[in-house]
Amino acid sequence: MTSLLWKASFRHLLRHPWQLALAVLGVALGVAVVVGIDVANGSAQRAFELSSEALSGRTTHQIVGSGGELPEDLYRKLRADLGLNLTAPVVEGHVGHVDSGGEVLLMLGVDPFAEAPFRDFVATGPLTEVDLGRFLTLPGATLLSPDTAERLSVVPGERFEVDIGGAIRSLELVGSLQPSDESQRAALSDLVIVDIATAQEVLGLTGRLSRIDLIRPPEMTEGELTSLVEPLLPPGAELMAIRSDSSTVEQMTRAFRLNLQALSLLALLCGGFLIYNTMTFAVVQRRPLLAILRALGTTRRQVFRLMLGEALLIGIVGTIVGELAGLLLGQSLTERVTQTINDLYFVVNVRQVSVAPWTLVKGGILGLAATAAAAITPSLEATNTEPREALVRSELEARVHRAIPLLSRLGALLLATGGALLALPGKSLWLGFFGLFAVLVGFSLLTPLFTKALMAAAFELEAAHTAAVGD
Amino acid sequence: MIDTSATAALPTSPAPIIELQAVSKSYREAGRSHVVLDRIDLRVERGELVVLLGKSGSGKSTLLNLLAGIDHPDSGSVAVAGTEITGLSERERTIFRRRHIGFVFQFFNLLPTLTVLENLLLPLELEGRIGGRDRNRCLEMLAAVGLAERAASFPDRLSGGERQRIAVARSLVHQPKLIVADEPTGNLDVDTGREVIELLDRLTRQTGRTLFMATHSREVIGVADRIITIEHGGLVELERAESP
Ligand SMILES: Nc1ncnc2c1ncn2[C@@H]1O[C@H](COP(=O)(O)OP(=O)(O)OP(=O)(O)O)[C@@H](O)[C@H]1O
Ligand SMILES: [Mg+2]
Repeated sequence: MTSLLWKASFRHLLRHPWQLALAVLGVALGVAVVVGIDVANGSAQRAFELSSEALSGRTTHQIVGSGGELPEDLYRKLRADLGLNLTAPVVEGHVGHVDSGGEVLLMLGVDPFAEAPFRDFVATGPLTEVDLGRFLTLPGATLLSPDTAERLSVVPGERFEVDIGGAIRSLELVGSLQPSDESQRAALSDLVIVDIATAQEVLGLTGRLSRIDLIRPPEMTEGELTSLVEPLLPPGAELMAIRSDSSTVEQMTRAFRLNLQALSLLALLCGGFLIYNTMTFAVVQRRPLLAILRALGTTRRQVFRLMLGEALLIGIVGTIVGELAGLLLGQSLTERVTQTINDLYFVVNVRQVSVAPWTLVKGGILGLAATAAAAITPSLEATNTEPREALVRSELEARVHRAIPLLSRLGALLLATGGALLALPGKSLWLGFFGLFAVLVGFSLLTPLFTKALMAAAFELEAAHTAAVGD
Repeated sequence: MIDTSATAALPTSPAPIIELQAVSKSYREAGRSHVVLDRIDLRVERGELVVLLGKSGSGKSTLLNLLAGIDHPDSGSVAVAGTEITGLSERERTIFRRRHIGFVFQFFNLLPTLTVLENLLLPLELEGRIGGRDRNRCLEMLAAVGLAERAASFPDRLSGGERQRIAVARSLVHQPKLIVADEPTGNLDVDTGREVIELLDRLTRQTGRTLFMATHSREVIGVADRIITIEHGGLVELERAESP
């Protein structure tokens, strides 16, 4: 490969800034979506883990009742009759914060004396600082993390209102929970910790518990624990090992992760499609130049390398731009995804977007690989340039153009279907995802139309520019 | 004139630079086959300046493309400088072309994103030889076509005539055996066209090279050693007007 050929190629790119920008945009869009979804995926995943970890603590088993309710005295029986001291009662439910317009919070009613082995942020730290008596006796006494208190604009000693199914209840902030690390901070950000009695009263669960958390004593086997506990359980109640695959949280997160990964792959496909498009146009436009090169004795292999090299240059720039844009996109996607999880599963709160380095590496590799893959066909097309084609606009362009009306119609149809599905109230999980898929695919099918229009505009802009500069 | 006929009469080498035998070429279009060249034979000696006349669409460019190894005949053989290019692979033809053929087209000759000097260097660089001496030769070629001071200009800053002069310089810079020119003056006014023809004539003769030029204009007849036309797919050699 000669340096003069590279030079000619590079200058060509610089001389057509509009088209260069478009090509870079094509790559960047693909990479941005992949990185964005990956970031959202990772953040949501982390949020799931943090939430379930923070909420279940070192819990190994949970006793859950049918309809999410257990009689209160089951807890007493476990402790007194079976001597299972590593148990903690939990009463939980969602409440809306009135002043912020209904921000959903998870009210967690706990027994501070039983909490120590489970959730250390409840038992240690805060309760040594606040008046334990007040927390236990004052009706509506709550603990919030400092971040949450700040977000909800309440200071200790102040009251705030929550909405439980239309009924407004007043709570008082009596102290703050000090998260011991970042992961706890994230997990705590949507928690309202109250005494178990307060939770029962506020959530209308007097005499009942949402669940009982257990830690299996090390000397006891799984089977021993089951045979010990099961006889005590009321009809419909279940003892579940929460670290196993049967755990609902685990199952839900896995399904969700799978969906997001599928979405991310789809995005890569769309990205590749965009790159293919821009590279095809880049080759088509270069026909006369390639024809001269071929006449002068540039081999097909050289032409191929030249075009591919150019594509990779665009790919590198586009990938870098795409990574940056992807991080931004990831931030807003994370909010959307969290919203979806909240709507569909349970409340998780992602105040912090976490970016794994692997996400950026993956984005880079995918961006370049997709560029190369998408550029191969146009580059091969370029090698077929014959010197006598110098004045003829190619077949290839005609081929792409011929397909545009069909692709565009299909794209518009998918876009409309997807949009309608997404707008549907009370949609199911799968309909929601299907809608999102449809929108993405529809959008990618519409890109040739946009590309064509933008390319035409770019040609005109450049023509105008050339005319203005003049010879 | 006396000079030219002397050259034609005394070929420097027994092997012809161009030898076509029973070459046919047709194009398929809309299901119909259209014969452009029909079993033509042609022999051109080294150092000759051959002018190819003919109506538009008669097949001049088609013939030139066959000579230059750009296109492949349907049947027959094309030999250039003793090499049967019809027997070469596509890649071999490409390499043959860059080593032994110089081109001047009607337009779209120069790479717009390379300077004049870089355009001249390109054939040498493609050949893998480029050094201080080559650079000097390019500058000499530029001087020979009277454009030494435009070495750093980009082609779009040159006039049509200047561009064609650069194209002439480029077609010669790598010392090819055969120069193929397809209507090199087609886009130029009469005077500028004459300058370019004079340049081609002078530079190819100076170095003893063969020039095969297709043209519409009868003005170039004066410099030709031989004049050939294509009529109904066949070649017709015109007798030179009786020597003055
Ligand atoms: N790629 C092609 N496909 C189909 N027909 C072709 C092709 N190239 C040339 N032709 C046809 O072959 C005939 C000869 O074309 P050619 O370009 O050789 O003519 P020409 O003598 O060079 O004309 P001009 O003086 O206008 O350049 C024309 O009828 C042309 O339409
Ligand atoms: Mg022609």
